[in-house]
Amino acid sequence: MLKPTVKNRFSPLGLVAALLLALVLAACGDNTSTPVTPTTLTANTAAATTTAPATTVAVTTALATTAANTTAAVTTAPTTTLATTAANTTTAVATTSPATTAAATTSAATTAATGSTAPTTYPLTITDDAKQSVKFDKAPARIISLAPSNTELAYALGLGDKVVGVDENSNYPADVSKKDKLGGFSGINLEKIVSLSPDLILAAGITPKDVITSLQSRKLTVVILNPFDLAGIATNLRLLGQIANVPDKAEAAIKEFQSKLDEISAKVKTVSTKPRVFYELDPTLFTVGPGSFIDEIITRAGGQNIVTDAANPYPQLNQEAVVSKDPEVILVGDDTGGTDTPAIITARPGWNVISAVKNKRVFAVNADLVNRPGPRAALGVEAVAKLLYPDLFK
Amino acid sequence: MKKLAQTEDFKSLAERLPFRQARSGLFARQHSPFFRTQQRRLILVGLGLAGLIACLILCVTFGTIAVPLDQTLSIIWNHTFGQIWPIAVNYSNGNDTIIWEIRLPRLLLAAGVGAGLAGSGALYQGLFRNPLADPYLVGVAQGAAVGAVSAIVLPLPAFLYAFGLVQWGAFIGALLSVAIVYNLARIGGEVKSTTLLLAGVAIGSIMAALTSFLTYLNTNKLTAIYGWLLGGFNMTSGWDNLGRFLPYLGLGIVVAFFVGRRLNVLQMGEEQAALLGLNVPLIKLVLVLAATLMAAAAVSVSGIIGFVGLVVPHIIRILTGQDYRLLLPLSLVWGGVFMVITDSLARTVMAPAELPVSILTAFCGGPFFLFILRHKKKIEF
Repeated sequence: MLKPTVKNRFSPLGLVAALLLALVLAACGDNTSTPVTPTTLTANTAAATTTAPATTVAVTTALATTAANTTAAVTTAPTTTLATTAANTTTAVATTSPATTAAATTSAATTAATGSTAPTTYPLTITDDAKQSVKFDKAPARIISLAPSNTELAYALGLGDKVVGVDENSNYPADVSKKDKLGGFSGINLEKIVSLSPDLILAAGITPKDVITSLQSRKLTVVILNPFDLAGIATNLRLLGQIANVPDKAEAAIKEFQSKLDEISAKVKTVSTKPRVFYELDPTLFTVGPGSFIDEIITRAGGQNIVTDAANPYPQLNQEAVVSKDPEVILVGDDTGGTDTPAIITARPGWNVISAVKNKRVFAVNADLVNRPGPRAALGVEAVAKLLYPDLFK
Repeated sequence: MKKLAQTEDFKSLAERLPFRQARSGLFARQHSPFFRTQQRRLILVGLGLAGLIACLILCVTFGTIAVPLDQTLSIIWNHTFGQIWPIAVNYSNGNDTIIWEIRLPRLLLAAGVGAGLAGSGALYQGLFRNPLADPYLVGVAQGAAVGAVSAIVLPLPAFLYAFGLVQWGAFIGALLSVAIVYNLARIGGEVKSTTLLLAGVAIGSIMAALTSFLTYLNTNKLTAIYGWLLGGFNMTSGWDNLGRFLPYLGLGIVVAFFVGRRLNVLQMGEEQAALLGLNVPLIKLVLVLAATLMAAAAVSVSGIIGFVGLVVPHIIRILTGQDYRLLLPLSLVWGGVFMVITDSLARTVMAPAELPVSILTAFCGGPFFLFILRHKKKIEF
């Protein structure tokens, strides 16, 4: 007969090791960028489908500061010229990031914040949103975009005919359907990228790090555009305009972008009470908190996000929290593929006491406008403002 | 007799015999559980039920939004007996909704799902006589995942989702998957446990691959899919889910009470059980059906929650012994208690966010299980 072997199998050492492992795992739970627990995984995924979240801890801290900085700028003077805000943002990011070198800081300040329309002189060295210096000997003629926001950015500067390939999720403007598709969230086709021989690849915060490294190791020019807020979009427009030698178009696009925002904030300023807004990212109640891109859009549109304190930009709520915060408007993106719609939200048991549901103010918003940190974000602000204040925007 | 006793088969047979006389008479075992008399066992069941009720009352009062105990009780009273003898309303409309529409149904559902998973785990462990058996062994979880993910990704009209399309998808997927496994394992009118296990593992892998493939094709619905796969009770407000789930749990409870004695006989091995006059194929079919219905119903309302079905029956077994007449009801009750506690932790430790409950079931259950294993090391499965 087999003697009890439990003692041998579960020696005290093993037990201690298991508990230690559990402790280590628990300690990692708070870290937003450690994909140890499924919670953080979901948070990252949710973020990936929306804006372009920070991928490293260093950038996450920078993000928080940037957001604080921008909000301050917004509340004090909504019509501040964008150049100043942009400069502020750049310095904030540069100084808070521990990985920044002194050289990068200065070049970021000088290259990104200038608003001149003078033609670019080559060779040109710029610093992208990941603090990497990139050198250009001439204006790029074959551009690849790896994110929808970047595609829209390039088209906004009239570089559409120079774009040779885009990612699968790029769907605007309609012209991109003719371009080569290079993959999406699940993976990017490196062979195809190399075969297109691009001289500029526009990556984003959602582009996986290993993709960027392997592109760079093949001596391809990669610029990472990862704006954290609306001011960052203007900075990116200016940066791309400088790289591609179309500074005049960049300034025109920025002006259009800024005047749209100013127009909205002028209208919204007249109302005294701002509606409480709950933005639902997915049916498990992941939402947006301070420091996220959509949160800024809601704020600019004159709304008041019900999430005011959250450990990360994409927190999850439970139903009790939503009911008790009693949002007056509930917004849901239209990119959930039917898994989350105003009808579904309205039908949830217990949600009938929420003001938004009672007053039939549960709306779907065009997710492409509010999710993408691209030039159409101003239209996203307008779309949200129209839903919040139907009387003001007729 | 002496010769017989020396053969390995008979020896293990006698050891597995749940009855006290058999144990002490044939081979004096070193271990004798405290809960060995019928009275003491009844105490344990009663204790479990009392614990469950206490847990429910305790857990319903605390949560993301603090609702005082007196308010909580009057809300519950006014919705139940208050229909006849109403008492004064001393709470806000919002609190009423939070307690009655969100928290209470959720807790009751958690209790039910915990009971269902633990009960079905105990049934499978008894059926397969395998300590590693859990409710998901024969493809329930993977089948449910395929069903749920299909319901999520298919371009169906939105209003269907309000009727619990995803839940039905999961339930049907789970049943289909088990039906396939069971039919695959039926060779010449006989279902061998080993074949059933192997077929379950194989079908499970195929189903898991199918889920991954469906997810890969629909990255825009990634968060919805992932949220379902993680499992939990975050979105189970209202009484619909509970109503949908309870019939299957009831069936499981009935089976648990009637089949326990036969499961004891089955522990001697299928051949011996057949020799003792047990209709093994029928028992097997009934057991697989009941366990599958319970597990499928649980998975369909809560997503895939691991560990409960594996560990709760084991803990009970270590504490009380192998008697399935006792093991089944106790697993049901304590599975409910375990789940109510873990779910309450899940919704409060990270409030207002939700921790996926399957993380907590493993975190809480794992160390506790190891602790008991260390202190009761004399027991074998």
